[in-house]
Amino acid sequence: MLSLRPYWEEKESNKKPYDKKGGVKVPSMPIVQMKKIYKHFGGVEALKNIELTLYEGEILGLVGDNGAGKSTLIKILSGAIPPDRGEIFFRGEKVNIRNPKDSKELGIETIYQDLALIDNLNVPANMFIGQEIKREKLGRIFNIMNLKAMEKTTRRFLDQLKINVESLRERVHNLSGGQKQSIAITRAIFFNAKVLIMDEPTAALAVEETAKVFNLIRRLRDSGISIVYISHNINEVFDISDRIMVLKTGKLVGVQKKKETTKDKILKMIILGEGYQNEKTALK
Amino acid sequence: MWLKKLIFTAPSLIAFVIIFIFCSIISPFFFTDINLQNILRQIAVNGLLAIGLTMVILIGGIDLSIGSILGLVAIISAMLIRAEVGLIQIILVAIIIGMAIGVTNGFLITQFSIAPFVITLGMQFVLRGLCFSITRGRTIFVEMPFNVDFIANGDIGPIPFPAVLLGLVYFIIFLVMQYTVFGRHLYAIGGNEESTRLFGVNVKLVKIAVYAICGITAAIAGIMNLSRISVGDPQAGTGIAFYIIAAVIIGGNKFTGGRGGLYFTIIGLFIVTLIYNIIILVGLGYYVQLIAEGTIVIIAALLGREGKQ
Amino acid sequence: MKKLLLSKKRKQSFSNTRGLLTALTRKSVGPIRKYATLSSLILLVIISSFLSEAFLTSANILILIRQASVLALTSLGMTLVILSGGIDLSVGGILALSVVSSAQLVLKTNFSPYLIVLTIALLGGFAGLCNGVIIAKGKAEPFLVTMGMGIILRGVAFIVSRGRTLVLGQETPPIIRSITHDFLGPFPYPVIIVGSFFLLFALIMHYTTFGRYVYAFGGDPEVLRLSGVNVIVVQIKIYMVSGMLFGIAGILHLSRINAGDPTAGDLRVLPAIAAVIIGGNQFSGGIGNVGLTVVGILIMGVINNILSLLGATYYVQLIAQGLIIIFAVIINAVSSKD
Repeated sequence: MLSLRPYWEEKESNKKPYDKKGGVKVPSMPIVQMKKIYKHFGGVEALKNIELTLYEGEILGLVGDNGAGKSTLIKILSGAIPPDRGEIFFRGEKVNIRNPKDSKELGIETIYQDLALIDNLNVPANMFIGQEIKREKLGRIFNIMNLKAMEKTTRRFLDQLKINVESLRERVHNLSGGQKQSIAITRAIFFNAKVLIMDEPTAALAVEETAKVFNLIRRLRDSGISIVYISHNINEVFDISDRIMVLKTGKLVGVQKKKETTKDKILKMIILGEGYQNEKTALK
Repeated sequence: MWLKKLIFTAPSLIAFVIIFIFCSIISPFFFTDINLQNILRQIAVNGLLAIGLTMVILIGGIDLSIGSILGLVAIISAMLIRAEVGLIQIILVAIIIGMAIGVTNGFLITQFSIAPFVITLGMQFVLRGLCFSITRGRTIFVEMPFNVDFIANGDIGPIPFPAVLLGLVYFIIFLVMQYTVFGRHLYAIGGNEESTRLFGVNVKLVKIAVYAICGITAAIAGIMNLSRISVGDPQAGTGIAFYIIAAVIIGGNKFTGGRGGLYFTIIGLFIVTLIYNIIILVGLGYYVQLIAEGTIVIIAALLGREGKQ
Repeated sequence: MKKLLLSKKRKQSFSNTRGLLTALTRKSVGPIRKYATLSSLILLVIISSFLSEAFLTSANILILIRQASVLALTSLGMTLVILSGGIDLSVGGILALSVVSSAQLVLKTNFSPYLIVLTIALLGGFAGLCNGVIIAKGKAEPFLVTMGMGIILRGVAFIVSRGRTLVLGQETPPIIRSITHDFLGPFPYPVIIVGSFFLLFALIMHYTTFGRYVYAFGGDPEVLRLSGVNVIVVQIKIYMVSGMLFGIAGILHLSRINAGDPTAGDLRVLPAIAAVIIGGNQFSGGIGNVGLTVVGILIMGVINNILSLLGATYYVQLIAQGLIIIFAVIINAVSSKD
């Protein structure tokens, strides 16, 4: 359950995000498919007939104006809220995601916009929240934690990703936004994430920190993790994504491969809702 | 139609009507002059406390010290009567005391950002201790001058004076809350304190004012209590804070503030008082009162929560 | 994972005794919070010993401890609830119910004392379960739910005792009497019992996932939920534990008073909360530990004790308690702003 090295250090044979047919990379199976998703809050329809397809080893940018439904959609995928209607498929099989634990068990990890860490706990506590390392035998029955192991492992993770946090014993309340975000990302990638959802991860970050995060995201993608990247920032999305999905007021406007579109076109989709080719075209 | 609005704003009104009809059917003594007047008198004292507390709860706070303010003012007023001080002066003194305590509460809460529960809890201990210390544990017997006695025991026509007084205070506070900027601020702070602060409202000052008003209403209730039982009792008002909170919430005010109003509170007070009354009339034991009250509080808690997402 | 545990490359961060000490005293609090309350207590004790010769006598300390023991258990339960960001006002009701129920069990049945204790603990736990379910699943305010439940249970206590005070007299099993009056070596039983509970819970809060989730829930319940933890179960457990502790506190009360009085515990709620806050725990939750509550209990106990010794009336104690609460929170609020 707990992997101690980031994915890019795993052996070559373990990762196969792309099949190679005649030397050309062909996108493999969709790892996540959300079909006919509906969600309303009170009288407001937040999502209407949304389809999302995420392929293994790609970065899908999810964009749209405020209130478009981006956060709502990924919250449904991560189990934070239930959909009114619709189905979710993981690796082709229908799954029922009723709570955050369900999605984590599938390997879907989420980094939310404002809700990263628990302020009054320290770094190791936050790193292992919900999946604490327990002591042997008797410890498993009474859920006794192995504090030493958690502290040690946390230090190792952070060192590997070159994240700088001086004292692991202090409450995370005093850390900077960037540090907190880094810890949240570390938590996600080290716990066997196959799908990583990131909701505005660079909103609170400085420029160098953003560059660092982008590097990290690319390495993750190259090692086979599929990523959904939500952002307001068109430049960022263009920089990082392989495909871009546009929502507007709860409806799907369209999905485009980055190479086949321009920032202008995407902006038009966001603001005007002008739909372009549908899903099938974007795949080819 | 105003009738529809009246009903749909407060579902608790329907509960009240049902309970009222139920009570009239169950006991022949219920719908009598004496009993109804008695109910109104009981509600009047508690009503004053509840009006002040409603404002506090609306801004998302709480005040556990109201019972002890009542007691303190009651015994001080009793001593003043003994010293042959006039009613007007007594009322003035009471208002000043209530305001001072309220301002202190509000100041400590806002200045240091401390939970209102804890500050008013501490204040309640201090004031109650003062009550006993001043009177050395004894009650103060006084000869009630007519004007003081009238406050709780007089009538204006068929209506007991306390109810008239309550109606007056209710009316004034109602006007303040509905039609003044201050009143609007109350709801705003209860709804989203941070946004309200960012809009330029002096939240600290509003809060202190609210706690001050709560202290003042508790002080007036103290005078009414003295008039009602004709002695200065240092134990007066013990434990009443929770009871009033229950009434405010049962009526439909939101515990965390931002929604509700005096209208809800009065209904809640009526519901609780009616239930107590009918249980006594029917002759069921004390324990039925307790179980009924507790159950209603829990029901109110369940009904009053934010809708599940 | 086994490799992790066996590797000694890094210096061990916690030795076992240090870990224990952390659990008891330093857990989750900043330096000022824990030192301010402790030094206040020490100062208080020193001043008291000067104010009255009788203060440091063993007889007096015994009285102090016996008086504080019921408060200690209720405060312990309250600590957990407050750390989780909630509150439990049903102390009075659960205490009353457990007092009269255990009295009835003594009078009407021949349950062994251990069985009585177990039954009452389960009873308290069940009351807490009801609280927890309504609060967690019903998403209702803990303040209101526990207040209502407390009132209901007090009513039930009246029913169980048929409105009378049940005097036990000779019928009390010796073990129950000895809870208050006997000694294990030099230590009075109340200290052993209360001390064991505090020690147990200090360890639970520091070393188990449940304890950690209590703090996490007090800090940010939504993040905890999103991390995959079943927060509803956590919250229910918290109120079950506090209910159980309140129930056991009732047995201690019965042992002292030797009578089952349905009005018992009426005034126990606020002092329990006061002890938790005076000790330095944060009222809104997330910060503090059971060790701080011990300090709070002792501060209140010492104040009450020294005031009695000096001949001050009960009323002065009330004033003192109130002032201490207010000063304690102000100090904590000001010192946390660093």
